[in-house]
Amino acid sequence: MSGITPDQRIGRLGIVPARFGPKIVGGAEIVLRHIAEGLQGRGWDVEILTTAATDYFAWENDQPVGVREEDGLTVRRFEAVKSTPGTERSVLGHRMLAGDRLSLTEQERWMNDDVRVPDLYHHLLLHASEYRALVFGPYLFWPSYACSQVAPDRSLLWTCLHDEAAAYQDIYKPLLSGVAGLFLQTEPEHELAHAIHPQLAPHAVVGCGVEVPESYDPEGFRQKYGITGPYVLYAGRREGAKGWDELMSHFAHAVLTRGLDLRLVTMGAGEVRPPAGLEDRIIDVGFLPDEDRDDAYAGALAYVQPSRYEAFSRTIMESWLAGRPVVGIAEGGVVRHHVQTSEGGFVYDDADEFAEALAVLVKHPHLADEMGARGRDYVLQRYQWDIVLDGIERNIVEWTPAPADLVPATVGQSEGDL
Amino acid sequence: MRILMVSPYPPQRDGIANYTAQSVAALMREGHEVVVLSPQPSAAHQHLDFMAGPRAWAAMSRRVRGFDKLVIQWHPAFFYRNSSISDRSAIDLAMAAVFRLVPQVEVWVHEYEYAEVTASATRRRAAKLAFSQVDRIVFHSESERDLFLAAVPVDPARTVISEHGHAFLPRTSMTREQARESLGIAPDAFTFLCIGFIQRHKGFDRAVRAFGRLGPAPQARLDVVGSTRLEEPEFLAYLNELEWLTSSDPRTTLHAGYVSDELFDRWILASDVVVLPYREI
Repeated sequence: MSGITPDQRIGRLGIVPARFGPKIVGGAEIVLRHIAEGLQGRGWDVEILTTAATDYFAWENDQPVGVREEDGLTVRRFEAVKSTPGTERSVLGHRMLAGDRLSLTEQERWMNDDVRVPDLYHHLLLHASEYRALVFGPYLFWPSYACSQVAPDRSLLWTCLHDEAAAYQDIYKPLLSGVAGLFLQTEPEHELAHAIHPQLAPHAVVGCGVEVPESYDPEGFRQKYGITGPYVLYAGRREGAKGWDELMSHFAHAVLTRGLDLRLVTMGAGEVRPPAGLEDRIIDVGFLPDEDRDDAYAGALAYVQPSRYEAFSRTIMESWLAGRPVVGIAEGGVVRHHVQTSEGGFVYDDADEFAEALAVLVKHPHLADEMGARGRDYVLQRYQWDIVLDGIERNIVEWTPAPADLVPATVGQSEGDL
Repeated sequence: MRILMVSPYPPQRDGIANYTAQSVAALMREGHEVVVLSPQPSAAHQHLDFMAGPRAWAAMSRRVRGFDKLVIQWHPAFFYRNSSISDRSAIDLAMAAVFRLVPQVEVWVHEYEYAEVTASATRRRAAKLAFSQVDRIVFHSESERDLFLAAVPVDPARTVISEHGHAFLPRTSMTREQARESLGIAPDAFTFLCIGFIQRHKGFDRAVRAFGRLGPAPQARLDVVGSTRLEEPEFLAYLNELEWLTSSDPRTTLHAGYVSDELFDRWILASDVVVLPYREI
């Protein structure tokens, strides 16, 4: 329990994801949606402030601009503006990744040569005082960067900080040191935030919620998608930044050098591009409905997580909830933290360790089951939405004052005043 | 009224950008419809690259249509791409043509190149032609207005001194104690502060040198806070000079880096004395 009473849930909360909608796949967007729904369910007055765009790549305004009810939430949409070619952002981004130091002016140009939301900025310029708190996220996006600075004393950040080149750019310092509060999801993210910005804004590690499915049907998944034999699973974008290419290389090494009878099943977006000779071992099932997704986890020997840049790693939680172990990359810290704390799997540093982990799990299925069970306990104890929302609303109350005109007269008065 | 506001704009780090955002908020609250156009992509509704010179003003002639008023936040660096007299004069003339298309024109002069205009008859004529089309020219001080009128002789009745602070919005709600703690300033320290863009005309070096002559004052400290507007040799050389100067006295510190509006306000709140050792303003 958060200990927050109904009379403390005063004032409107603006939740500000860059995109909003039932089909949004991005991690932070999904989480902010759950936070909005959860806080509204607890009695908070919640409004979503977002763009009219839902596609991460095209940023076309495919939803109507304005205010309307969507799935029980009040959603205020603003036009997403992408009026620059993005060429400069690309060039500067590559320099950033290569370790070049960008000047402040270059960092600003990198940030502004992308999707911007001027009408959201102006809405907040005029109306920020009507919100008790504005929850932005993740740190990387223009709305968080630009709009949190309109009213920093009531801006909170669902941070999603990764150990990536962008996090070290000076332009993010005001965001991480000057807002009213930072929500962090894990201890490694907390340590990273301190390492990058010694003068950190008020902050709290609140975790992240994961929905617990009522049941699983692994055999149903196999039949529906025609999958035979043992497999490991990867869910997420198939792109270099997520470690996809390295995963395929490690997987090839594992099955070819160890002779493992394994397939790699993958769901999500992006081109698969399997290495020659492994075309029949790497199976793309595309986007799955939630129930099929859960069944896919349950049917796997293990879940593999090759991404170094995770602020939380929702997918490994979903695997553990399904009772399956995780083989995750050690570098980056977050995945290692979860795996080592839960004892719910193995971490690896290179292709040999990856192959060894898979070989052990193939040879000792009971070990895989035990690890998966420990992982499930870990998630249930820490990352259920009720627990996470408790932390979020406790900190909202602590970091942002209730609007004075809405505080009931009796709150804060001593008996002598009555 | 439909107003087109031309200015750098947040999130660009720039005092004028911040000033404009606050003015825009005030105008919108008064019921005006304000469209902001910035030289670089920003939170403004539109952007236009003024480094294209007269061509940019040709584009402006289309952008201003339908507006009742054009407001320009003026700084030479926003509109002139080089120091050529002929290029700047051509831009002035192009501006003059645009100004004629709008019912009302207002220019807020934040900086002006008095010496250059005074020294060149060509430039002077062009500037006069442009500013003669302006209905209201706003200055931050009497002395700025006097210097301007000496360089560009337009009707003084069209000039006004701005009312400072009418649209200012505080960006921090911290207490002084919280601000000090967040910046690592001891509660009993006496803090002198130089803050803003690091460039020679701000004269922060003069404050550091003067502070060095203060004698024994163990609680006193001088913090110089800001970043260079541009990463050009002249600016970087001055930054290096300040680094060298501040490193020679443990009571002085240079905090070179990004200063947001919130951080700017926090430093002001935490300080005891704000030092303005400007060579020019």
